Amino acid sequence: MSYFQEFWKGIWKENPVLVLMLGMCPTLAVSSSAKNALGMGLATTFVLVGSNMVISMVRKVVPDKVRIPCYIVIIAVFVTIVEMLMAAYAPAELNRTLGIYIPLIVVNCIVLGRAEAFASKNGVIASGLDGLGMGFGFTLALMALGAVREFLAEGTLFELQVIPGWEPFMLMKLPPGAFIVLGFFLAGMNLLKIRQARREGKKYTPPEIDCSRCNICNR
Amino acid sequence: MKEILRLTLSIGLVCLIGGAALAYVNVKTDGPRQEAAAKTLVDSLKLVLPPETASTTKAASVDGVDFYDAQDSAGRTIARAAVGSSSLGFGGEMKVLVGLSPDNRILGVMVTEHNETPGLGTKATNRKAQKSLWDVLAGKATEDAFPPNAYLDSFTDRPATGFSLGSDSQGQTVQAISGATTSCKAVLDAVNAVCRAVHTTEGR
Repeated sequence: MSYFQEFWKGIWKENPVLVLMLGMCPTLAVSSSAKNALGMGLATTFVLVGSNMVISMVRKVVPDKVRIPCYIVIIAVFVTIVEMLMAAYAPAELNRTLGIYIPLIVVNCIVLGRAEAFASKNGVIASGLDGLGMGFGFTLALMALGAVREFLAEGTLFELQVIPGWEPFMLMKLPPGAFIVLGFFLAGMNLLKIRQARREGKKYTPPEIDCSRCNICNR
Repeated sequence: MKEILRLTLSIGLVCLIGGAALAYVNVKTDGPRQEAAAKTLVDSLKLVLPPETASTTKAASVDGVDFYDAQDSAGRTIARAAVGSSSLGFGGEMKVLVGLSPDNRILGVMVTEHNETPGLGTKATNRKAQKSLWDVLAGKATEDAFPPNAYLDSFTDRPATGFSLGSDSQGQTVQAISGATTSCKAVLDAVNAVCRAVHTTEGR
């Protein structure tokens, strides 16, 4: 696979939220507005790129038996660095809104998932690009969800009013709204894929998320 | 035995390097982090204090309420601000900043920390100006640092002697927002905590 493909697959073909279904917890929690989604997505991208590259560097040094604790330590270090940098340099309001979610990146399954499934088997540059692509894919999916939810709830985008006099639909801003909008997104994603398969004259098969994509148990 | 030693050493080494990296970033960002926290506090203090305020200094805390004195450019104390808290919010802890004139009238109220439900409880806590996307694109948007909130503004210009919810004329009352009663009560509780602290400082 070329480097560009390593980057691109995270955005569309293997989008972590819409295809791999990883990191659902932050997806549901932080997509209540487009602005929050953007901040959370970029913080996660930074952690993903950093941890992926370091894990790829140490993949031959760290013994297999203790690899998971080592990965967790590396990821936790990057998350804490992001937290400190945000407290020091990010706008106060963004820091206040995202403050409680940043420590949760440690247990975001995308980060550990990519460490296990990709960075522990591939080179440093490929792993960095994989992290960047997965991070951008996560950010874009989160932002799309956040924008739709914010628009339906308050008629605003990035806190700017688009339609004056919108009757508030607060369900969309609360957790159930996240499930509803995500459901429609996944349905739309499947519809696109089914159409594409039909155009190519093939029968649609769901994405293969099988043991060849993951090595958590079969080492 | 040798295996255990190797595993322990490698995980220990990873932790050691990670710890060192964290210590380095911690030292490097310590100054900026404290500056950012201080700036956030000063920025919000200025919003509830008179526009002549040039500097603020921390004064003594009374009954868990932190007081800040505001000086004008000549160094005279012209007002003060207090941070009251309440645990009665729908999402728990809430912190409310109250500006006070020298004769203990309320200059302004704003919620600095809360955990209320977006769209319901936040009607009682958020000062948020609604800017229109089209105005921003046309370059007509104006920046309002202290947008109005009907509930929070109902405290303004009244003496800080304690408030209660209701519409009757007995004592000082404020009107709760329907759908946000619990959040209104929490704001009221925090403002009343400030009022009690003010009473204590006056009694001394």
